[in-house]
Amino acid sequence: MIQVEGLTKYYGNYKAIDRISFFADVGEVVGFVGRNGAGKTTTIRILTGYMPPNEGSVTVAGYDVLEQPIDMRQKLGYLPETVPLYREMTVWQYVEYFASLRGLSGADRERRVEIALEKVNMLERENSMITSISKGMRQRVGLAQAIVHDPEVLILDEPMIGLDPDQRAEMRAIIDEIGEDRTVFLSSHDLAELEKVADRVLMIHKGQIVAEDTPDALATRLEGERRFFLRLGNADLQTAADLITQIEGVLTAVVKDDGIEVAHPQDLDVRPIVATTVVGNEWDLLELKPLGTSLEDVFLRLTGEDAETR
Amino acid sequence: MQSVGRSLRTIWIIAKQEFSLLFGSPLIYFIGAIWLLINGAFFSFYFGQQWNQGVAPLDMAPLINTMVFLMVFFAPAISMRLVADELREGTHELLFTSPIRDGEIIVGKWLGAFGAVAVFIAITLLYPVVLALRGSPDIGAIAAGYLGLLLSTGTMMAIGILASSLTQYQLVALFVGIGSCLVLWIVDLFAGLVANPNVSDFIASLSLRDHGDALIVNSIIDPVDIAYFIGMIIIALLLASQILGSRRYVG
Repeated sequence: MIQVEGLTKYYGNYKAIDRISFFADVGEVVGFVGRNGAGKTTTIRILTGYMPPNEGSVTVAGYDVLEQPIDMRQKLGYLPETVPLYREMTVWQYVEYFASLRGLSGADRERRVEIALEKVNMLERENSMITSISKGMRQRVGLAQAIVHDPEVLILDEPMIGLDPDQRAEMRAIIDEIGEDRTVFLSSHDLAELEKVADRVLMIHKGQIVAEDTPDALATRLEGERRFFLRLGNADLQTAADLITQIEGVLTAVVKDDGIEVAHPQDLDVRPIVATTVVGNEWDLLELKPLGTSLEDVFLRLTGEDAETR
Repeated sequence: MQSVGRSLRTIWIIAKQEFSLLFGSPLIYFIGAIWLLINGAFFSFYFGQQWNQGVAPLDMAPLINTMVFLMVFFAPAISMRLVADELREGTHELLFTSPIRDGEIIVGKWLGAFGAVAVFIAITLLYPVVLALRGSPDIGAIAAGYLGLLLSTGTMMAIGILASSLTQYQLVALFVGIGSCLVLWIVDLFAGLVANPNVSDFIASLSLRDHGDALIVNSIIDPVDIAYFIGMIIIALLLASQILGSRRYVG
């Protein structure tokens, strides 16, 4: 479990994080999202005991980060954003070294290293030099060192960076498995990935938590409107969009990709009238697909900026 | 007690790791080979002359003194990467978040690197063996000399790791390390420039060479000299540990 109360951190006069409080429970995967410079890495570095806060308290796995740092770190697994590796080591030596530093020894250490490498699908590369493996593999080796001691709390900073779609799926599966009975806290820029893996999401902006809920609840809470996507055949899309915009209840109708994205109030379903208009103009209705509110939409609205201003 | 045992175990793990990392890179072989080559040349030239004159050389002090002086340059060259490399590669982030103390990292690294240098020092034990085969050297004096060599080397390695903790650039660490060792080597020369006799005596007492000579040249194992070396090692390692720990505050 992670419990954070009133955490504040200054760099000189600059306040990087401002009295943030949150918790992450056992058996929960909590996503942490924010732009560069929002305070993500600072928060993570305080949670992991890398650096102390100016104010506030942090408890990880029942241990105070400042008062009981060694006990706390014994229960912690951490994968930094850029996986730091000893280039002179093999994959096995690297994971074994961190297993030793976390108190594992003898046959138990060998067994745990094997399990960790197997879990990240790197056992067959155990004798490879770290310099000779790909970036995605290095990310997996980094994860192996983080889980080798079976930690109660796992903190991952941008774990999906550099992974191809298959590797991302594997990483999600590992996080899901660990998150069943452990606490997993992960940061990511990739909101679509977070939506897939996180039970709950914390959004940080300018050093403050601006939202905290499940991805679905966040989307629902902010849904003032609904949207659907319309794909037409035998029609000039811009003309069709202009005509649909004039229908009562339609908020916007915008040409997007190979169709039209239509927005309407949550309590007024315009789809039957739009369908009638399509048929009346002798256009072919190829697709009518409801669109959900993505975590990205929620984030952009909460931080008061749209994609173009990012 | 359990905490001390855990600390010793952690230091041992880091020392072993550092030892094998050093011997996994070509640098230490290169530095060690040059050091052995110069010492070997000195041995052949200095003792060879005496043998040619029909004298069995017994005094190893000049050779051991040469070994120690060369360490002024070679010890920082070996220790320059110990912390600087961790800072440059970012691996210190994982050490900082592992269940280990900053002091354990520093002591472990120093011990591992000192052990690696000790391997090369051990190779030079061939010289007293050769002397013993051709004469009757004073084994006690040689042992005191080697004690001086080990303590001087340990001190310079500690100063080297202190320099390494200041920067992520190995070359900067190398020059700071060599500069600091050189100053400590000749610091007694500055003592005469100070009028106050107490201050002058204090400055003179910091001389690495003087304390080394007491063991190597005079063959006197004085607790004051031993305390000097151990004290210098502890101070340098403590400072390195504090500097490493201070990096937690700057992110």
